[in-house]
Amino acid sequence: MAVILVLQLAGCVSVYKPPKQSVAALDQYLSGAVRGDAQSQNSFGRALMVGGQGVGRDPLLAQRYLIAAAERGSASAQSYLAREYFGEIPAPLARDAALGSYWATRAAVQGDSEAMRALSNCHGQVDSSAFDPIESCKWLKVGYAAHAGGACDPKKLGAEPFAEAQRRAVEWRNQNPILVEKP
Amino acid sequence: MLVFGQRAWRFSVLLLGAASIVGIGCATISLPPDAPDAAEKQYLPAAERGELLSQYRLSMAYRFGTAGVPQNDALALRWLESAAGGLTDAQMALGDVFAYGQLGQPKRADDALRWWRKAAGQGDTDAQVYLAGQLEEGRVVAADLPEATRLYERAGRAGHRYARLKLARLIEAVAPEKALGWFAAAGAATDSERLRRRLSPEQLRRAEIFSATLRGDLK
Repeated sequence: MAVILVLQLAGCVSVYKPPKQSVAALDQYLSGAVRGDAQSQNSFGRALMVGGQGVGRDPLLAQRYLIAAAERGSASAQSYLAREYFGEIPAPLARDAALGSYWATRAAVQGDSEAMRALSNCHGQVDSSAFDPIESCKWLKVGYAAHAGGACDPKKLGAEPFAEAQRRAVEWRNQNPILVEKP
Repeated sequence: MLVFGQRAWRFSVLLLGAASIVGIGCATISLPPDAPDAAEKQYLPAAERGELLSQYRLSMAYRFGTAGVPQNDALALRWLESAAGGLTDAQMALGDVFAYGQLGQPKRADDALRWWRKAAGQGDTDAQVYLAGQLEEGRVVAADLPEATRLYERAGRAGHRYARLKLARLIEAVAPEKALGWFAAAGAATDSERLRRRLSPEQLRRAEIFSATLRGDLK
């Protein structure tokens, strides 16, 4: 009987112990961030932005590390800052389409499709000072090529503006040959 | 004896049934995770030996109550001041403490400026851009546009592209020819094009002369 009981339970009763709470922001990211490593600065800034991995929430301090990361070339940080300035995500700063475009363009040059989508979205908003349907279509074509829909519908945009957007997308791609798919 | 044997048999069958149910359900016993202990075991010994990064880490742990230590403003401030003895990131964070009244400190704009200037004065271009931004905005400390301009230019000449953009935006209204050069140096094509359309041919000529000089300086 005891043998049957042991067999019943063997391998089927497990003990689960969750891993220790992560303090990666302090243990790993901070040392790189202080040394000026862009990816570490981005990771540390993102941890501070939401709170976690050993740090609490501090959007102002987060912003400083994200700007440092973006300046040193982190496309992820550049794209994040762009979406903050475009008002797509909450941020401790005022909306600024020009600054958003600046960071998004720096990210786009590195092939960041999220930044291209954000640029298209910014230029596609009728109530924005940056409203420009041709540019909106251009960025969709740069980023998503044949899959670009929405703002790039030739019936809505008109044949000539559509052709102009297509021309600008090709020109941008030729000047920034970092992407594989052609528009 | 026979009665005891029957009871034992019934009890065993019941136990087997229960064990089968548990077995089929694959029972999992959950244990609590080990408490984090990085602050006490790693950061504190190194911080006491004078290691600046560990002092900064320990300050953060006390500020947020993480890595195994309870939240403690006084200890967070103590270790941040130690780290600020040589770490520009800590100097900037200490400036924030006084600027925004963190860690139980009253707001003291002069002390905030002192620490931000200390970091900026050591050639940290991120610190220069941040301080310039504060002096441009004038919300936390008194606005000082000439100093903001100098700081952006210093960082911009050291290679900070975002500083060049901020400088161009700051001087655009008063010195558009120079601003055009700085926009170009920042790689801000949209702003360059926008400003170029506003300038007269004579202004564009002067802007081109300035840009050529600037490109030479920045090489």
